[in-house]
Amino acid sequence: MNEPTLNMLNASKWYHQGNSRIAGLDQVSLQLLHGEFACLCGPSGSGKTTLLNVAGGLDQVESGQVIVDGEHLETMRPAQLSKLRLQRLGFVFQSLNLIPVLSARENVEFVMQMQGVAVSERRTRATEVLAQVGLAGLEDRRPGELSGGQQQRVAVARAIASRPALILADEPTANLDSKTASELMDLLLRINHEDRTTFLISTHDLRITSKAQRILNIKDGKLVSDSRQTEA
Amino acid sequence: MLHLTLAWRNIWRNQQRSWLLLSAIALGIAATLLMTALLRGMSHNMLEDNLQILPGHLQIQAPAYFQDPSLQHSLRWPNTDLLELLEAEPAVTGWTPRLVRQVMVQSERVNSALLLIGVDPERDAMVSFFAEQPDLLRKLVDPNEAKVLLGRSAVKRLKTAVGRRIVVTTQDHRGDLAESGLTVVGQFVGLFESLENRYAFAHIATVQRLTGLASSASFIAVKTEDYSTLEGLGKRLAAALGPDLHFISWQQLDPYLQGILQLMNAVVIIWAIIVFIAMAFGLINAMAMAVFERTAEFGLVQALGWRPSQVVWVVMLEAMMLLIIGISAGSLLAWAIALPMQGGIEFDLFAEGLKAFGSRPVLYPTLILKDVIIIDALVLLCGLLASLSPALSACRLKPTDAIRSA
Amino acid sequence: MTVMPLAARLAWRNLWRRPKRTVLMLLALAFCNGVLVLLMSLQVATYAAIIDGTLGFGTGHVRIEHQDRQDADDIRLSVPNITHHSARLRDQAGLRASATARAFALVISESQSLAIPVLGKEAAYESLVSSLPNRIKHGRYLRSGAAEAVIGVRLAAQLNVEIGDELTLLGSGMDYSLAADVLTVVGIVESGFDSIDRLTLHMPIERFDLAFSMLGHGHWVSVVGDDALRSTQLVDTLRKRFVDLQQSPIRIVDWDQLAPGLKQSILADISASFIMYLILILLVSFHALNAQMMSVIERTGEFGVSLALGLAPGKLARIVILESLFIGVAAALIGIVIGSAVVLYLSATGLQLPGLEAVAERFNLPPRLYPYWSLTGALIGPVAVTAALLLATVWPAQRIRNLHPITAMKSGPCYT
Repeated sequence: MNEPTLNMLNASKWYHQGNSRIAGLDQVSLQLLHGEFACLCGPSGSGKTTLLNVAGGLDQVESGQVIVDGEHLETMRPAQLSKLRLQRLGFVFQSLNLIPVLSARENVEFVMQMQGVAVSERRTRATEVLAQVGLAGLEDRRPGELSGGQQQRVAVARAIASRPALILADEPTANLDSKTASELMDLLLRINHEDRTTFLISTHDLRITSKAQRILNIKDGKLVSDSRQTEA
Repeated sequence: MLHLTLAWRNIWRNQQRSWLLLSAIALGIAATLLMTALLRGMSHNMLEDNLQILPGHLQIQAPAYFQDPSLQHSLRWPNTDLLELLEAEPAVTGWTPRLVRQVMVQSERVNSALLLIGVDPERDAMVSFFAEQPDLLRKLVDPNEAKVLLGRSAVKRLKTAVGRRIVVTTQDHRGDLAESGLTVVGQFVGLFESLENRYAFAHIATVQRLTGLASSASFIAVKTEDYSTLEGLGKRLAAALGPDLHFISWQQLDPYLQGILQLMNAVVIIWAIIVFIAMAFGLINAMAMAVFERTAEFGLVQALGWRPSQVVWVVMLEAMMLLIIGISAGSLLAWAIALPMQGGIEFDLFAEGLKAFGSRPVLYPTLILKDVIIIDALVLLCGLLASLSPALSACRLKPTDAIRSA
Repeated sequence: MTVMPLAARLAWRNLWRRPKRTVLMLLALAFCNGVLVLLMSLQVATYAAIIDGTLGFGTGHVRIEHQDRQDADDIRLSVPNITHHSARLRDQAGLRASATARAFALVISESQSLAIPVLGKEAAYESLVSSLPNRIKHGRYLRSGAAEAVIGVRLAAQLNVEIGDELTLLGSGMDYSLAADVLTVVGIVESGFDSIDRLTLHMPIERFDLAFSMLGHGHWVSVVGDDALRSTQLVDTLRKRFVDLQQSPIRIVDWDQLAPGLKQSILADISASFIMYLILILLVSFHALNAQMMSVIERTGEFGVSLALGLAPGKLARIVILESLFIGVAAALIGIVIGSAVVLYLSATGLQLPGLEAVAERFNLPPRLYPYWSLTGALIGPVAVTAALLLATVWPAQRIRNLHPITAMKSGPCYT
């Protein structure tokens, strides 16, 4: 298992605005190994979201290669990408994460049901992951009845429920106060330790990046630095 | 003016919804108007066609004739007073005396029964369907000859032909059997098979001789300018006729025609109500959604100092604009569909069925302005009523709540 | 609720995010369904009544007659051994059948004479094919072979005769001879329908045979089956079992050939109302389309997240269709219940409309319309409405299929 979980080779993507061409990603090469916890930093508009979208199969590169868990994303059709996202990847978004009419447990189960997990298994697994993110006892609340931090924990629980190869999180703490943000970050780190789940998280919150194993800096679509730090 | 501009722009904020709503209003209006036009055309034709077959728009009869159409209840004809009265009446466009007698008829091979109608060949075309076949009546013109016109299908049914003779038998005015041989001089074509089958026409003098009743007629059939307004004429005639003669309108003569007219009106009204209700639900929903989407906006304008009534006014203006556009489009659509069909649409497939109702197999849709105005106005009114509740709910939003929900 | 699959639960809860919109949509659909249930039940009942009114006074569902009978009113277009045929149909096939002979005659009372068709009837069997023998107002029905007549109530008034009075018939027989007879009025019938009460004169067929020199001939045998609308089956049965009854010049005719206007007017009415129903359904579908479209547009962001998570667009679209199905089924149930209640109420009291009485008279119908409840009448409308609703949801559902997760997620917050 020496193959990286995420392997991007000279990945490029441009956005067109009028006549000018803006680089979303410019010749980005990046390897993320199994069990790594990486933070993607950079100012807004630097290409963080583009990189995450491309890595998550939500968007495709125009040149270069994106290989997730051994699969070449750049050649996949939308339906294949969709299947790959469902089976191999986990997502935590900034907001709008949950289906408002479903309870916390049902939100977790819903995705598992779509993955084809049997009823009894997904019931136990949902309870298990909700407990893991610290929401035991709140399983039957609907998103409207949970705080912002709790909602994000449900999203995390949903992302880890199917034990994905890679979890992508796009500014998951942006809408949270600093205490809650920090707690969520600790949760993600704990999961990374316990389950050896690979994380790629975009953020510009320095208190969070400080806890990350590896920090990737991106600017104008180019990867400008890649540093590993020893665990604090 | 600002309100108008605002309302107008608001409509097009959600184009898809507005288009769907407009199509629904236009479709409902067009369907209702077209149905009205078809039924109007059908009933007008039915009346024209059926009234000219026999009864005319009204009849003048001896008082007892309507209940018991026997020979004893005939009226005296010619009658100078009556003649002068009819000639002087401007609303009367034609009149003709008729003497009607049920007869047994024998051809060379077949025995059957017919209604033998004695007519004045000079006058009958003024009232009846013979206006379309004037040559036929000319064949009856000599009062001293015993001639008869039969319907096309009666000729077939009796296995006879033009030029042959038939024998008619009936009771004369004394109750004795009377018989007369008549030469078939022509066959007429009628819209309905029943007309061709049941009636035979002869000179009134021929029927007078057969029944032994010289100088009499069963009734005078009268045609007027407009069959739908007989009240005034009826009053004038009733006053002038005196106790010996009665005025009977087509509504009394043919309750079926009167009935089907009323029934068609009832059907149009019921249908219109159903369409109104179906459209009202859609309108309420669409307006409610439009209001809901703009909760914050309504809060803002109220915070800026709009009165609640101004909010209601803008929402109602939006509804009114949608309604007016939809209604106009629907009316235009109905007109555009009805116009090329005014020459008549043929319903060959259902010809027999329509004839069974007493209608031609060709329908002439008639879009009457009065119908269009009434239906359009009703829909507009009901539509505005339906929008009232969303509009009121918009002004009930408190500025602070409304802004917070953004 | 836990037994419901998650997708169904999701769809159900989505409906109640905007209760007002859902209720309005439900009401519109239920209203449409109720109207259709009522109108279709009225239609079915009216057609049955028209058919019965036209066929129920002796015409029968199927007739056995001379092949040229329809074209000419000739007494010689007859069928030999007529009562023998009707007896065979009754005895060998267990059918309700009765024979008739018909001729025009001048009917003369003391004060009046009228030319009308006179019918010779099998006194004992007429009630099998016609309701007239059961509608005697005064006196009784005929006895076989007797010199008797039963006449309609308005004919009696016109002729000015009562029970016990005599009527003289004058006509011509099958052999061109003078036909004459004197009959005693033993019964007066009242059907309630003008044309029948004005034109009916029945006499025993045996007596008719002598008077009109028929030598055993008659004009038709009426056969009545269980259901006029299934008369084609009856015709088929007759053709298989009684081969001689379709050998020239005899033929077996269905009622729609006897009364072509009748079937066509029903068909014309069916197609006209079909168009009307279609328009009504279309109106409500526009409304449903609008509401569902709004509901999908509102949830764009939410759908975007689900798509990003890798949920197949088809499955999301299915949830929206499921939402429509829920509303459709609920509206169908409400519409059927309310529509059926109105139908049942009207089936007892009858529906009165202006002008209906005079029109009904012409078609031998009672003066009010009495709808009756039938499964078909109650189901067709709601099923069509629900199908239309599902069709109307295809477009909004299709919208989901075309969503791109990134742009969809950008489209803003979802309503909770």
